[in-house]
Amino acid sequence: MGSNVFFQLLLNGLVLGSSYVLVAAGFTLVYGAARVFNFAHGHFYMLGAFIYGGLVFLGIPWILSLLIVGLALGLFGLITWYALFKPLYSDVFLTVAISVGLGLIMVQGIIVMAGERDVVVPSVFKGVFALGDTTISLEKLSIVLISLGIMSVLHLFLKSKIGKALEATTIDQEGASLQGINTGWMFAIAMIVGSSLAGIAGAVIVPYLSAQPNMGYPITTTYLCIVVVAGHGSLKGAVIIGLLFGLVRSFGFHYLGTWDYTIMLLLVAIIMYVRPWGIWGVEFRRKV
Amino acid sequence: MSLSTYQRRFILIGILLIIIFLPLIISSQHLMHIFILAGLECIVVMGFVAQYHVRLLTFCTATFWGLGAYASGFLSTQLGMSFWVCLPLAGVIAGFFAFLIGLLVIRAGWVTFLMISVVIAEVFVEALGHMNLVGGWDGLGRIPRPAIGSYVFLSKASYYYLTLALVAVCVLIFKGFYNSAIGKAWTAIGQSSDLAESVGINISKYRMIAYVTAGFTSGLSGSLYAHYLGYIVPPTFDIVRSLYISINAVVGGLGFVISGPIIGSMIIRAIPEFLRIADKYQPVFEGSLIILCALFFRKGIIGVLSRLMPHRR
Repeated sequence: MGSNVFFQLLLNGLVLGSSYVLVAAGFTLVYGAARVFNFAHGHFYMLGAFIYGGLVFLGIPWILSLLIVGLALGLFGLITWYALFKPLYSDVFLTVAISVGLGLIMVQGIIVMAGERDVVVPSVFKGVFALGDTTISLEKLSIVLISLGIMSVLHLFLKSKIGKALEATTIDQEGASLQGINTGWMFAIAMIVGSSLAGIAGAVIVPYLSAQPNMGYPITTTYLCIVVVAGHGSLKGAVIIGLLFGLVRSFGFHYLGTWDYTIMLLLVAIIMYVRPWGIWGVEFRRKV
Repeated sequence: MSLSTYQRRFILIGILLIIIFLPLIISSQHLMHIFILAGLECIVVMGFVAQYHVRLLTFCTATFWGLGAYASGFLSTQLGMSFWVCLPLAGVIAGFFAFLIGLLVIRAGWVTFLMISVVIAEVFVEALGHMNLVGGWDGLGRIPRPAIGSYVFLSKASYYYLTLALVAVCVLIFKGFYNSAIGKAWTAIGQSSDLAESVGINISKYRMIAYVTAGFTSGLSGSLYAHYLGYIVPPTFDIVRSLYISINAVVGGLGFVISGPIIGSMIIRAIPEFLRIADKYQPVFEGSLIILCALFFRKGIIGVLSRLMPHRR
């Protein structure tokens, strides 16, 4: 029990946390701008993992596969938006219900196609390197670094003109449309970016977790908790809380055993109760 | 809607007769099993619809169901209580927990409420899995079938009637609520909570009534479920089950507070059995059904049926 265990736990926590961050960032975009409460978001992540696995087995280089996954899930998100969510936009409950149905179809579709088993996707980055007396797996480090890269790209995107418009839509829809922003387009863009982020998250994490059809369900609770604790539409909050969640799960499992998840969820419930609009979600207080 | 009262009554009596004599018509034990499960589920769905009626969106309906099941199972196996004591106690315990949770979160916004319900659903399963008192992940077994004197409800047909009795009780409870002043307040809140508040309706109070009633009836149904299967495991009552319950509600028709849940549960449970694709494609079937209903038939299956009816005259 030395610094090695600590570093391994830290690295595992960062790996989990970076996948949480990507999924939660995608959801917070979708929910913040388009106000779509997408319960199938976790299954988008699952789909991303499976598509990436398929592409890697075909022998396509990882960075190209990642790009294809992002584009494919973005397209899928766009289709979902126009086919399912847009017609029901005014009814909150039916959008939730329809995303539940979509999730069921996606999971069962994958089970029918790929079978109900874990699909192990080997990482392209193999080997370890030593840093003092701790060894760091290149595979885990690559996951963290790729996620970091993707988040930087997202950051640049949000600094662009479209990103600013997206942010304006998140803060105030009517105000944004008064400024000449086509909010309908913004919803679609949020859906594209959010869905492709979920898919990329799945693709990035798949060498670490291996792909299974039901992997969307556990992460659904996680990203919902992250987004609610951080505040709806707050990207900064999603990053911080997402990483924190990963670390808490990694260290918590080591020190608290199997109760860690329950304790974490209870803490989340308390935070939700004390600050219903999340830690960074003050501006969203007006109306939902 | 253009059916006369006489015709309506005729159809209703016909359906009731079929329901009452179902065990005589159907000899398949498997089908009886399906009907019993659908009957137990439709009570939970009724609770869900009542909560939706006051615009409380929740995904922990199965949690109260499970609470009732576990309370009843624990009381009967560990403390040796009779089923007839366990049944109301299970309802009261589930209702009490609903009351406690409601005290904390009923005033929160709908997002917080939905999210906390998701957290509760997850915590419930996780906590049960860690409690050795109720069997942990291995589940709670050897829950006895209910009995009156020396008569034990062993056959499927007898249990079907027991289920039917409970469904009837719950229908009466909910019908009583919907027809009373409380039900009118519920409808007012459902149509516009701001307007309801402005005419002096205490929203939180009426929401609480709906929430606790749903918890209570779900607990009753859970008790019957536990004693029917005799063996319960925590993952039965996870969030996926709650999602299915919301699907049943949408498919049956959210506007039809009593018949919607019954028809919805029947359809979701029974049709895949008739189609013989129960195993592999059932979730696909249900997913497509809910998407179709949400997109094109907002009033659910009953809405479609009642739209078709007048043309057949």
